Amino acid sequence: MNQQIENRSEIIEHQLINGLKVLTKEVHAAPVASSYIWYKVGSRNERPGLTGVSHWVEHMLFKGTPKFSKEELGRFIEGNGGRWNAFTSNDYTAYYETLPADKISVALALESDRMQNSVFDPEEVEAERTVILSEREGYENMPQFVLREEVQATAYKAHPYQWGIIGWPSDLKTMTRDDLYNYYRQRYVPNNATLVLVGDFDTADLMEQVETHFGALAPGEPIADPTTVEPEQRGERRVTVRKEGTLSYVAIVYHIPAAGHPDFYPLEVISTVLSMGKTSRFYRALVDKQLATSAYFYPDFSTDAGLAWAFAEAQVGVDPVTLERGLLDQIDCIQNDLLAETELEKAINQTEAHFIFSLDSVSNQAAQIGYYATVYDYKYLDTYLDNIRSVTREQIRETAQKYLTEDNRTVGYFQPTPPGHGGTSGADAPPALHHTGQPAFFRFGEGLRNE
Amino acid sequence: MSKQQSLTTRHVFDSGMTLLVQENHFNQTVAISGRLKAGSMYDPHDYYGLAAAVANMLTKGTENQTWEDIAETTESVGASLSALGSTETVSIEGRLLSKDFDRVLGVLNDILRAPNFPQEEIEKYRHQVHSWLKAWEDETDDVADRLLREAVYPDEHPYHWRVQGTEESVTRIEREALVDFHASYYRPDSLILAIVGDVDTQAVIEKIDAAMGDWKVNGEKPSFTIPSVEYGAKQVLVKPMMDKSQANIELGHKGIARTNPDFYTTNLMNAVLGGSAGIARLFGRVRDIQGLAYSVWSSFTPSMGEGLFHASAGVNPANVDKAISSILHEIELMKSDGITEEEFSDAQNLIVGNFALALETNRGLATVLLTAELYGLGLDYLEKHESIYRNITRAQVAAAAEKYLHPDLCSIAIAGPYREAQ
Repeated sequence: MNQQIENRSEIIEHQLINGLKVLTKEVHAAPVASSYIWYKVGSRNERPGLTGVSHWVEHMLFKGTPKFSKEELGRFIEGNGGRWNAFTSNDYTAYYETLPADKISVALALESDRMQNSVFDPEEVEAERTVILSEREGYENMPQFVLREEVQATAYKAHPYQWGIIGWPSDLKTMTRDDLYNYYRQRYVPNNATLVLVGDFDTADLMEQVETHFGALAPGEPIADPTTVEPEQRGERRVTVRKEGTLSYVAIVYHIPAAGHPDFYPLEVISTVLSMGKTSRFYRALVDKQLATSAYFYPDFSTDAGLAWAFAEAQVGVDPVTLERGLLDQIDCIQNDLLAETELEKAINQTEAHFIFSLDSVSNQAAQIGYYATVYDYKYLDTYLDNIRSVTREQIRETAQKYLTEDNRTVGYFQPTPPGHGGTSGADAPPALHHTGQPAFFRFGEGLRNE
Repeated sequence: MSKQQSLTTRHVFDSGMTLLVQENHFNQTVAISGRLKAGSMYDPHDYYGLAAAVANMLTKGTENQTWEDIAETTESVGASLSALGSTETVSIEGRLLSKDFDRVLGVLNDILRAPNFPQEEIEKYRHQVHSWLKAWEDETDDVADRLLREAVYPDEHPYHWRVQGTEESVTRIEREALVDFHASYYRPDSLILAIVGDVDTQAVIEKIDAAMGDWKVNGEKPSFTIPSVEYGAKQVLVKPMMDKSQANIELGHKGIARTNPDFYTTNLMNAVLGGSAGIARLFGRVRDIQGLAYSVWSSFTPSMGEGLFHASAGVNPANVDKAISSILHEIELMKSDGITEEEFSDAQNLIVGNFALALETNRGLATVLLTAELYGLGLDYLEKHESIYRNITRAQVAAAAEKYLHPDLCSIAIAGPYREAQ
């Protein structure tokens, strides 16, 4: 690969006295700047009874502060020509604004205010309760979501990753305003946040503004990480969901280590070999052979030990048993036989190109930097390509043998029943930030057409 | 968009093919995007899905290589190249590192000009479409969207039917029909290509000429006018899907062509009605105040013909009737009272600002260039865009709302765990 494709980060790290970490990167390609603030809080920090609280808090930060009403917040960004949204995942909650570069201070004013001054008006909490339940019901319409939720709950029995980011319906129905507000007050503190700024600005000037807006915020108590460690799985687990539908789905998940473990690099290469593009093994063996309409494999890159997911949607008339066999055959091949040299080279080329493409806008750069900074360490980006390039065929086989085993897996089926039969328990998986990223639940979808 | 941006170059080859090139040396990537006027509007009435099948099969084998060779050539260097049929055009999308330009151009030339539609691949495609159709019929939002289109556009109108056809029509598509369709509609004078990124403009023109210069047109260029439609009578269509949790609502009527000079005014009006989150009334009132729905929005679909105006929401089945009346009430208010001065300036800023953000990536810029060419907006559309929106008046927005919104003529489609009251 060319030397010119090296992508050293040029990120500058700053630390305010109150503990806020700020990462800046000047990019002068376009008159645009992006602000992402990442809080280290997500469903990982929740407990039974309060599942879904992180995501609901995120929604409440759009409801106003004593200084700015919710209408003013909306006008703040969009009325200045910007784009904004927020999303919550297992390990983080993030809020972003992308604006014309000369308006970026608007984002700083908004985020510094709502970090500590959001109101959580009881009436607003109740209005949002039905919105969140509606959001959940929308996901429940999709077999992929239903299967994913079931498989997670089966693969984990101790760690908070066992419940989904959206939370269980009974918790969403009973959680109180004070539950939400207390959770917010404790977690939304400068020492639990990373502010990422990328775009067309002068760093020294912008940092003065950051100091003005965020410098006076009081730090909070240090936040303890969850202590529960998922015990080792000692045998295959299986789960089936039956619900009205038309196609079958299969998910097979394996426990893998937390972000930062060196085995991640071979796992990423396995993901590329199995599911990136039409030359991938899943495409050839499952899609081309008319067993699946789509099939993918990816490892969660998460703060605590996560899962590697193999997931497939069946073609019409294909039962889950056949589909499972098809997925497992491909995983067996990775464990038994070394990749061809050319296949490894292709996977590395694909990973490199994908990495470059993923940094094509200031918004995407800020997202990547903040994601890695929050889940693990943003410096991961500096060495990422070198580490991928040094993966060997032997490492790939060993990694597959180590993690992708029968005893370490949970297999889930979605079995469709015809209409009228009821059941016992959307088009794509929830959006992922990076091809190895966790799903994230957004506050709102894309609406406006840029005509 | 680079601040030191060079101007876009527009070049029309002798063959009639149009090329738009924009250099952007921010990084070593290139976007190749194209629009070929060979969409499903050209489908014969007994062959719905034919155009989409041809587009899909471009990468499934040519006279010179198998589908596996095609995929290997692009993927081995981390590039991608795909073709997707829609109602009006076929979209070509490629993403590559600039060092691989010649390689990807070679594949593009081959798949556009020499697909050979292997019988085995046709059968796989049919099977795949059957699965897609089954999956879509299980998705409440997709079903509601289909029902609304069927209500608004008459049977033989291109916006009435699914681009992919039906199970029955796809089963009837034979190789000969694919070959004939390709011969008639895949022509250089129907193709617009946009190349944006780390390239040299002159070199791109020369390379494309060398690769594709011998592509000749055959016979008259096909033409098709999307038929104008009447505002139909209001219909209510319900598909009960009782094992789902949420009902999807789609309501609307015919909209406005992209080339209609009122399009911009209508788009500005819609930003306030339901085309955004922070400033839109549907989001602010139906979602935030009434708490009825997670997703609620509206759109005027930009199209060659009178594309759909629709409002969409996903709601709890108990709230279906309430959500419909709330949305219709907002449409009525917009029609009778227009927008406030504050909403007006916010919407202008939103559209102008978001347009600039969309130009930041190679792909985003290529898409805007193609839109401008396809609808004849002029090569200076990028420069004009802001003044187009700044020159609109609030009175014009009110007039557009009065002219193009008709709450009493909105058909309503509902799919989900809901049955009409007897």
